[in-house]
Amino acid sequence: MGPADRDWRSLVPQEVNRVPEDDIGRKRAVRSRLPLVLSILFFVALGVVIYLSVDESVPVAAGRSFRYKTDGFLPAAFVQKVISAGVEGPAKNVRAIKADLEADNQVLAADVRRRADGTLEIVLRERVAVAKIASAPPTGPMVVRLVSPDGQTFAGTGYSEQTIRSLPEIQDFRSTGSGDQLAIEGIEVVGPFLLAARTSYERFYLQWASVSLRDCFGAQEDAPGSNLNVKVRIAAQPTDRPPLVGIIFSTANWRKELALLPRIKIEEYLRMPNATAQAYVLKLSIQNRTISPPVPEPRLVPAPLR
Amino acid sequence: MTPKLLPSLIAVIDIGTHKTVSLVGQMINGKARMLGFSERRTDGVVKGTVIDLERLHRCVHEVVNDVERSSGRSIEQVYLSLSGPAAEGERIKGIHAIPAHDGKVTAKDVTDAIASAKRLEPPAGRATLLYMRQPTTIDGRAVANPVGMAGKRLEVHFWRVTMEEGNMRMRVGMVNGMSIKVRDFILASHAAACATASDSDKQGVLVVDMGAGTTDWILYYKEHILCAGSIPVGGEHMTNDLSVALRISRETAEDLKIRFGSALHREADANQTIWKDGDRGLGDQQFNRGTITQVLSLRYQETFEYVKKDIMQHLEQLFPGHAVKLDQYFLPAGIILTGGSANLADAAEAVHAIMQLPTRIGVPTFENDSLRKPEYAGVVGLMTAAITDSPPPVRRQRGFLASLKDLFRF
Amino acid sequence: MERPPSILLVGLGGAGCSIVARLAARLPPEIGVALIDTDTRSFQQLPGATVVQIGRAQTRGMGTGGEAALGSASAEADEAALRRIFTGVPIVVMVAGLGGGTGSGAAAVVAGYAAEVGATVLTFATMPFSHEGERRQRQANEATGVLGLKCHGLVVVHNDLLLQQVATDAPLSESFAAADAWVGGALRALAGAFIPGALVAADPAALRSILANPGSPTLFAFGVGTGEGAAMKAARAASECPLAHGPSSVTKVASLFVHVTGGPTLTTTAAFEAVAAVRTRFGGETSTIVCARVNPDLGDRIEVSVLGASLPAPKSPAKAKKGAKAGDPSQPMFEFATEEAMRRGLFGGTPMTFIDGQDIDVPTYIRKAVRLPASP
Repeated sequence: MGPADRDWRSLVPQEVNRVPEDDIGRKRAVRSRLPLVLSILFFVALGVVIYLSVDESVPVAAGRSFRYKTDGFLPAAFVQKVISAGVEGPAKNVRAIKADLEADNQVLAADVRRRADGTLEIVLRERVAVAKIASAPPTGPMVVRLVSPDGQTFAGTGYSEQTIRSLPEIQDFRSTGSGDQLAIEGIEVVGPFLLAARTSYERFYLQWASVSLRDCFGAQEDAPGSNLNVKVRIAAQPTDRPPLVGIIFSTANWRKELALLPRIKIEEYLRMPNATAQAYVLKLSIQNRTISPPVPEPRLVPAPLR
Repeated sequence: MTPKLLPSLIAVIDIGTHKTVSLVGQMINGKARMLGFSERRTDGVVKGTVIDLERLHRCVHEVVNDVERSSGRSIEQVYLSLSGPAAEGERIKGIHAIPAHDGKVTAKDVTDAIASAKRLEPPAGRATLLYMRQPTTIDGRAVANPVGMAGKRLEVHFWRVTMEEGNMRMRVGMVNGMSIKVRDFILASHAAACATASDSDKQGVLVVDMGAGTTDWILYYKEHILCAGSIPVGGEHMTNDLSVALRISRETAEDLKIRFGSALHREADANQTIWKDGDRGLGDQQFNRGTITQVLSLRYQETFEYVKKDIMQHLEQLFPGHAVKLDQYFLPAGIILTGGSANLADAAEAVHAIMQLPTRIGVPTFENDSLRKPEYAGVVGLMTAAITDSPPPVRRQRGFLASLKDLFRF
Repeated sequence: MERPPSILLVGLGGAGCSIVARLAARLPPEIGVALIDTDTRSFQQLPGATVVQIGRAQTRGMGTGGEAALGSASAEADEAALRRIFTGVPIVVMVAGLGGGTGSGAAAVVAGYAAEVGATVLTFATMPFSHEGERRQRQANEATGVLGLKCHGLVVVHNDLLLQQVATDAPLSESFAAADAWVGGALRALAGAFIPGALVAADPAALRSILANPGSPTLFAFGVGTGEGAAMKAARAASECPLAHGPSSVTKVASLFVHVTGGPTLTTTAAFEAVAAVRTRFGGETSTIVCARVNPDLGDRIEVSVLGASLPAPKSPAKAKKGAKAGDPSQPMFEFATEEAMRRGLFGGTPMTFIDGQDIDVPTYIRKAVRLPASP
């Protein structure tokens, strides 16, 4: 033990690899390690994703059962039919099953996975139906198809009668194509409109019987007079006042008009002593043919006699 | 693949009686650029002595946290300043007789002499903290570079600073407790000098860093440190004196000291009356400015008398028998006053009257404007001294695996 | 033996005996006087007083020579005699000069005996002048620590402060006169509570309860006023009294005892006005005991004495001890109160620094005896 050992460095071997004891130390330790931890987590997550996706393309011996979940209405029988169709049946590989499922327009996305014991796990996401359309084919009865907000039409397998009846019908529309390829002119306006109504103003949406696209063709949103003519169900309205039979939204401004709708005291107005007409229509804005955009100005006008 | 060389990170912490300051910088193209800075009121230190280690630990830890946040880096090594009478210094020498056959000094001779100097035992119970190189002599003559010169007796001199072992362990332990290593200690007065005195000044200058708790001084001669010392009196004593004399609280005294204090007492001051709050509101008090300046000037001047006495004692020890005069031939650059208490009005004049040497207030040279104040000379100087005296080793970028190991080193 | 006095004034050591001897002449009869020392020469200052010579074997009647250890040994040797003079006395006021041997060493021991026989002990301890050197200062500092634990009230008088009270060229005896005035004022104030016939009476038991805790920081202030508005002048002087503003003084306390005494012109209203002024300065939120007396000898002089302490009334000793173990909230204050922090103010907890024999933490102007102009 010589004088050199009196040097402070030899007296105190500095061991700093310790777990931080107080909260400041912990904060600092976390902050200094954070980037490294995040990058490691990223790589780990990447590995997991790769592992999972690699698993899918391996065909395995046929399994009998499958587990099925959907956020819509399609029954399990439908899935069973799709799986069993074709030569290989349930033995065919997962990607093929997924493609077959998604071929049906009602399916938005199918998530098919094969578990370790060979059974399939299927989770479907379906298109949301905001309206229905009726078309008369050359032969046979009327065909009702459901419409999604993005314009896709589908059969509506699995929907109950009541659900279909409660959906508003799109009328007076012009279309091209048929079947799954049916393209409705103006759907790019009506679709979002009905979706917004259904999501945020469900109370009103449920009372709508139909939407007419008669004045919506070409659907240039700021074309003067271009509107969505909603017909309201009469049956559920109180009988001691004239009924409200329709609401007219402008194609250019329907969002603001929908927001306005809850604030209009329809019942009050319809019960006013000078409400003498047979039925009323609520016009939500003035659509002057020469000035656009439309001016919000809700008013109740007597309905034109049919 | 050659490992990438990263610019070194330099972190310094100056723990004072009044405030704890930390500075983080990076060496870019040989110059230091500031990355982060933080400052907090020190908790647990009085007169330069630690009285509450836990509170101090918490305070320093918060400073470190703040500076890491402000600079965006994490600190692993730090330089600490050393001030106060706890760090005692003395001159030591290592002697090496030059082999007769050759007569010329070789580099190895110098290394041997240095080793023999460092082998000298410090006083009992004390640990050696740092060595500062002083001029080498051959046969009693001071030489700049001894290698290749002829002579019989080679002496290397160091100014060695030691501290009680327990005190040292406490300081290092406190920093280690924050998962930070102490890279080196730097004498606070030397740091203050590095920030405020130029190399030409260091041909002969006395730098006095008067802080809140201690007054540290250092004497340079021919660009090397000659001696250094510390008096445990500082700005706090001035505030305390004023608070007792005027019967006011310490905070009020501090405020009055800053606003109306002076290191010189003039007859005219006695006729001046000042108001504490200045707005003649309720609870305001009147004071005689003369009282304030008298109390403060007495304390300030007494402190410098002590500094002068301390210097003379040290010089007596270094040059026994010679009466060294502190005059302009010895110290051409005079005296540089720095530290928080150098902000006292008329400080330079008062010191000039006591020491009879030209005196100026030392302001640190630094890129950042807000740090060009005497109270920051310590921390700015720490960075300068760290770079000059013991720069951190250049870092190699560690491989991914090594970083992983480091990450999970718990 | 006659009934023990209500208050016993005890001088301990050379300096203490001198002060007591000077005061003895002007004290009311209710106050008893005793002198305690190792050096018998002190007793000659007051012939006929009760004296206790301690440490006969240790010092042979000649004093301790500045050795505190000898002082405490002397006191312990004569324990029985000391206890006897304190028995039956409600309040003991001890005056001791610290720094020397008897004063520093015996003070705590004697105070301890007095407390043990049931007296409330108030000590006035003087601290040596800065120029008396390092040894005396260190001894005085250590003695204060121990003394504070044993006394119920400890008032520290720094001799350096005395120099502030007199003109720069005044003889030393004048500065001692200031100290005498303070101690005398305190005595008369305490005695006042026991003498019947006061303008506003105070209950001695209540007075004792203020000083009930050994080790609590004690405040003492004294002020005098004359002429017009004397009461308020005296209150102001008490507020500014240097005893309450030294480096180790406490300035806000919870319980106060205020004694106002004056000549025939003193009215109750004036007395209470003075008390209110004193309370704004010194606190007294928990309790303020007021005593006002008329002393015809004072003429138009009014004296205000303030005695105060901070800790609340304690629980019984047994419970107090238990309370300490259970982390009683008032207990930490006990230790803190006698800590160096209270005695050396800001610099408590740090080692004392002496340069040229002077404690440089004490303000420079005090050590150099520079008289400051009075505040406007």
